[in-house]
Amino acid sequence: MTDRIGKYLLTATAIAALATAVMSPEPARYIIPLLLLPLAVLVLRAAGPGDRLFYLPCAGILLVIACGIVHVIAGLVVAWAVAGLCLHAWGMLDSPADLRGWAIFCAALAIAAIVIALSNHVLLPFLVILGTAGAAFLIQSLHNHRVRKQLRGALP
Amino acid sequence: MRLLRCARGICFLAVLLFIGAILLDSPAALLAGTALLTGLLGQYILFCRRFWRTTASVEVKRSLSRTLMRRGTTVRVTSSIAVTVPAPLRVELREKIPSILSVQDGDTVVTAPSGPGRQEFRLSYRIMPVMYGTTQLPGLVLIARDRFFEAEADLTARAYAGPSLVVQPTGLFERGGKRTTTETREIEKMSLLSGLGIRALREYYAGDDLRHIDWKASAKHDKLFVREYAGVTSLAPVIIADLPWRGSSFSPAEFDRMAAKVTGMAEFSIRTYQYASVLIISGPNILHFIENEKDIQTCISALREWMHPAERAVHLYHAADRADLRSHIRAIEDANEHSADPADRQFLSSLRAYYRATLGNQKMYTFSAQIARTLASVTTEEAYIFSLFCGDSSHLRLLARQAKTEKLVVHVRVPESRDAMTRSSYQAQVCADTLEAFT
Repeated sequence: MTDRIGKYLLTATAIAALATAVMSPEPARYIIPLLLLPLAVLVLRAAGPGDRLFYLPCAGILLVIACGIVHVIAGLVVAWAVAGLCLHAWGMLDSPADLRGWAIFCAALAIAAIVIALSNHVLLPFLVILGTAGAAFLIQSLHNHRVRKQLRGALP
Repeated sequence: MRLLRCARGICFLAVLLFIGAILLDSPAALLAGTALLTGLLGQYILFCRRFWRTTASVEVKRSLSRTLMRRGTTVRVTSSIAVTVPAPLRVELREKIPSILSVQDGDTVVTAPSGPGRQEFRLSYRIMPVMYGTTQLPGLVLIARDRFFEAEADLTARAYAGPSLVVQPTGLFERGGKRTTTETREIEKMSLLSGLGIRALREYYAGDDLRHIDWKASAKHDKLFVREYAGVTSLAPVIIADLPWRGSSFSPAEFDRMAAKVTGMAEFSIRTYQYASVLIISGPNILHFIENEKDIQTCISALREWMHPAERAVHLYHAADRADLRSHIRAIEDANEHSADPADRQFLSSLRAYYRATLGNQKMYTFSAQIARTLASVTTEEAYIFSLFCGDSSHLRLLARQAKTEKLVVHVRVPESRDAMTRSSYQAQVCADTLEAFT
């Protein structure tokens, strides 16, 4: 089943990238060779050790940027697919909980993409995204601190 | 929380993309950077949830072989740990050992892979308190890692800690100026070939010693019966293994050879004399005493458990007991008699006065008293001391002196790698009767 999901994700990535290349007002042919990069990483992964999988998001992000230049929403769709591909390659898309996590990631990224698409410049959405991420990190850190104190013997 | 290589790479990439997005005013780069940041943050939150779920699932039951002990002795700790590790975490559980306890041997770390259901582990190790007082085993350290993050949590709440250990102090010297031994014993020095015990009665055959006829049994059965006396054998020697301090520089190969020799001698003793007594010390610390062990397997497993470099609670350095001081005084008096130079004589007189003052206050070492009590409890005529002679050998001299007091013949065994001069100096230091090298 997991292999089937991988194939679906790879196909989705390819379709999204090719559709962006074809449907762009001016032909964005550079997307097609970039599409080969994640594929090459996956082939290399089969031949080499698993820690080379770090190159998969590196290669995928180029594709996201290339499609994002054409349109932010196209970049968003490719980012969803590339993220799914990475998670699947890392074995982190096997359980229903993992799929739920991916869905939450997609939703969060969609909100961020809408904010980016609605803004004329980069700075404001960047600050909004950074602030949101910082707040999430802070909340989680506070929770960590509280639990850590309890484990050390402090009263809840 | 620590970022691992993969997460650090993604962070670096995201920062590069954000910088590029701001400099070039590129929404595409911002989206790509946001995708990486969101992904990493999501993984962080998921990791934290799994990590805290894992810590909440930990259950520890710890037991000590005894809870009251003296400083320098060892106690066995057995911990049963149960944990649930969700995928894709890998967990390492480590016993937290306070600095006043030293781990002698055993495992204090266990690695739990992710898997469905509850996993149970058992840790068994020995600890030795190097300080006295009441102490408690504080708990566990849980380290979890996945592809991106590594986190560590101290589990020191009441549920994970304990039990308490009361450590009594031990002094370097015995209380009072005199040697105190509570044990007394009666030794039958057997010089005859047959013992006093009667093994069996049998009919008289021509040529039997008439002195062995049991007249009472003969009168009862109207036949001549003779007594068969039990045979006697030599007394088994006491084997003393002096383990090197863990912090000293010793040859592991020599130590392995020494351990093999001690084991071989214990086995030989059981086979020949039906029992073996092995005293395991490390410097002036008595670690374990295998007393009159008759079973080879039990003896070998005990040796396997104890024969390794040990932590020492007490160290001696050029320790001189009362006998040493007296011999120094005698040597000074001899030198004083033969000296003609008044300056030399004055110096020797003041040195003699110093030694005499020291002798007046010198007490018996606790180690000497422990050795005296231990040797008094075994019936033997010989003691074999196996040592690597790493560092100070005062304790061996104290040991040999107590053995001599018990009228034992002291044999010392040292590694063959030491040259003949060094070996003979060891014999002189310890005052041993014989010294041999083991290979």
